[in-house]
Amino acid sequence: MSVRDVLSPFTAWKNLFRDPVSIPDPLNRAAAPRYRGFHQNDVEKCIGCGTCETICQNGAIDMVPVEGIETKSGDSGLRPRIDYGRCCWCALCVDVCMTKSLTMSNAYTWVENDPDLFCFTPGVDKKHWDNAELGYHCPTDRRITGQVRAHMRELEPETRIDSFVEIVQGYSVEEAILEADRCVACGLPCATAITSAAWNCSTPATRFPASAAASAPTSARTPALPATKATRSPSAG
Amino acid sequence: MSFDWMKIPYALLTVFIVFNYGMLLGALIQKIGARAGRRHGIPIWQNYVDLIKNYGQRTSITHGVMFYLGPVFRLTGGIGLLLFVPTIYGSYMFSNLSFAGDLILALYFVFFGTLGMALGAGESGHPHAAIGITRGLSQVSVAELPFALAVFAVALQYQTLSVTDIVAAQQGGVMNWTLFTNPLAVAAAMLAFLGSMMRPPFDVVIAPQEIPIGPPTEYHSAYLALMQTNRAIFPIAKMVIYMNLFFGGATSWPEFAVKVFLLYLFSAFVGVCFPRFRVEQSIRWFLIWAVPLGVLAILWV
Amino acid sequence: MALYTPDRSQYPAKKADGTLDIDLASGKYLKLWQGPNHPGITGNMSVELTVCGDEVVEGKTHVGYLHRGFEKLMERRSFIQCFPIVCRICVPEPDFNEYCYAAAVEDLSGIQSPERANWMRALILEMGRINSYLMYLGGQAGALGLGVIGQWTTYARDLMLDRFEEMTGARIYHMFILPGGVRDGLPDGFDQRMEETLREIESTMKDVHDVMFHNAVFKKRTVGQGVIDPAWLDQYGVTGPNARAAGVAKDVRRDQPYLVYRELEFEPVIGHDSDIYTRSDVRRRDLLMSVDLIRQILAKMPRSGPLIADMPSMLHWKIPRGETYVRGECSRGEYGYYLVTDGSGFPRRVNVRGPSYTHAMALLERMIVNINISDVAALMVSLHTYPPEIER
Repeated sequence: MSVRDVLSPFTAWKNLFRDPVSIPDPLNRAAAPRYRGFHQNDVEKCIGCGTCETICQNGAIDMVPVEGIETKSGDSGLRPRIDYGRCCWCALCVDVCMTKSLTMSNAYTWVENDPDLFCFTPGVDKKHWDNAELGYHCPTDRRITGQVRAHMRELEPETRIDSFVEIVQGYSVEEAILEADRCVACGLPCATAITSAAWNCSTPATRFPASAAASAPTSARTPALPATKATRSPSAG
Repeated sequence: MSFDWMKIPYALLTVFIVFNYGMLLGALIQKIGARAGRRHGIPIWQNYVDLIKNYGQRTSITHGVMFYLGPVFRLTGGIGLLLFVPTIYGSYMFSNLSFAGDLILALYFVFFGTLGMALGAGESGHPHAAIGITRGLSQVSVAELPFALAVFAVALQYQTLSVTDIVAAQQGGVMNWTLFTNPLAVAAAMLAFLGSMMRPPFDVVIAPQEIPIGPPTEYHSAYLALMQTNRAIFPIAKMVIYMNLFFGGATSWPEFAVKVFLLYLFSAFVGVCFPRFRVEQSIRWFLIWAVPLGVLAILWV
Repeated sequence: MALYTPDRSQYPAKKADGTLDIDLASGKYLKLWQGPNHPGITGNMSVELTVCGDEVVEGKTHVGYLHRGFEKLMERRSFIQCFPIVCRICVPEPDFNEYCYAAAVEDLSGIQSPERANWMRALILEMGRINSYLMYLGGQAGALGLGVIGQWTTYARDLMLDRFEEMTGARIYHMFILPGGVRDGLPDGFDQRMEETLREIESTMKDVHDVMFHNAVFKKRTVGQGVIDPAWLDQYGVTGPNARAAGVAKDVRRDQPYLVYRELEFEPVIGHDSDIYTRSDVRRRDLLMSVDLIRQILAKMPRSGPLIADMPSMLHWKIPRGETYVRGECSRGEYGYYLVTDGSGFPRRVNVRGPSYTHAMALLERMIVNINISDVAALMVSLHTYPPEIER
């Protein structure tokens, strides 16, 4: 123990005349531009595909019918209702959103006396952050539903020239499953799908189990193609 | 013996002024301490808000009569101490109920509240309270030792046990203060002061982290409010004694305010910068550093 | 000094099965619960102390107050759905969960996270380490009553949280390290603001050094207290700063470099005395090393390139059968994820190896014997334990 050990602690008092750094008004502090705050939903863009409901690990999202939005081809007429008693603001729903209609504002204060009001449908129930510019938006070039189409093998041009073999080789079982998995299984009859609009894609994995190897390649080919388009078309349009 | 009854309302007026000053001063010192931590600190009226809220609450459990009397004892200690020492020297209104030999009574009152707490919180039967009390009593006892020695030194020096006479002897210039006539006694007393102010490094009694937070854990609602009231009055009363014995007393309220503020600040000044000793470490510290000073002070006289 | 020295002869004898013979009815011993509601405990756990006078004769740790069954929850969630859960296993430093989980999943599914994402991950892990240490320093000083340190470090941590907020979109649960990469790049002007924050942290650490480490009372309470015998390190699986303070340079970042640590220059910080003071000091110096590492990372990291690998659809993501163990050096020691997959869309088994599991249970119970009850809090904090890791 030295004299320094006794005197040095008093240097703490050098802060006495410095400006305090604590925030005097913590209630009105603006969040960062990327902040994952309260949800916004562009109901016009939203097609009610329900992928947000599927991916939500808290079960916070329910797809509910909304007055004024008709069920039609390519739009289920449902919109996500979020229960803020369950939401953990992980933003997977924003990331997975097929049309990028679901985003997050950087607002983070909301006071209400009735707890039931925290179960709300963004975009439909008007909120003060509906027009907020800032907040978390999924970058346009990122999709967590599989961005790259599985490559389908073709015959080399040299081989094609003197052969009558089918040029397009089709998918193997694994490739077909991988490709089919890119479908989000929203159940919406896709407007641009080339097959019948009544075709609802359920979970492709159960439809083409890996064990059904023999017959799979041929039957897998048909749904794989529209499934791809179903995933892509909304973002294009 | 004739007694001037008018002294009673005047003394109560003193208590009222000191209480309010203590409430504001407590918050002010908190704010100053917060500045060292680079914070804004609490609003200056925060203590009043807490006090009113706590007085508005009632308990729904019972621990026995002694438990309830604990805070009352504590408050009695604080107010009693204040009532029997002259707050403003030379003022008829604020000399309170002081009398010859009141120094001994004051010493007794300093200890009185702690004992009351010990009995009261002990009644709760909570082991944390028991540990807190054990720590509190052992530490207060040993911190009292150098203070008592310093007081004896001062009493010997001025050949009186009356606080009023001691203050009178220190009038007429700064150099007449005990601070300069008997610096050793003052040094011993100031070290004891650190020990009795419940601030680091001697606050293991009410330490929240180190098992007991002592009696404050057990007391709540209006009992806590009583203790908060005491916390506004008791330190000031204690500082009035220090001021009278060692720093020339006060002849007016502004002088009183400044001196008490500086004394209060002293404990905060040290308290902010250090962690706390364990009980046996602080006892050892007092025995090694403060008690010899007190003994020397008596020998000096 | 012929003053009070504790008499240790009064401690209870051991019974034949090794347990202590404690007769509570004798009035000689007292049971005390430190926690779960107690400022002197690290998080939601409790220590059941048997004390004799002021000395602890036995300490038993009790957990379960925070049990949410993360590992079991994950078995019923798809791989991407586990990602928002894992960060909750350690609140003050959640990033290691995200990283280890992502790395384990990538390992089993054969995905390579892009180079730039690796740099981003290293950056975020070092930022988290600084946060964790800042919180620790405040806690260590606070456990001994030196509140002012906590106020400074909380400010410094708050600045770091601001950087986290602008980078990841959240302050505490960042949920930034997706399997396959990271969510986003650095925002504009981040480097400059980060540099300002690092300078502020350095100046705060200088103050902390002056007030906490050159403090007579702090030294009195911590030097020679709570010594971890170097022989215990392997017995109890002690890692991280706790091991480094005992003079053993265990550091996963150097021993089994992951992410980009091969390209960074650093030397593990070690101490020798293995007491509470040394452990605090090792962590303080480790913090400064992290500051330096962040500067290196920002200087070297690529500013363009993909942030996330090409991923299969995460909604129906199935990972082939396999098992793996991924580790990283978090602020408290080796953090590991053991992941077993069975080819389905859900993890078969996830086991989280949090360093607190060994430190706060077995090691603490051993170290807590014969210390003063006032020192229990300081000892617990000095092991730097976070209860959620114990009861995933």
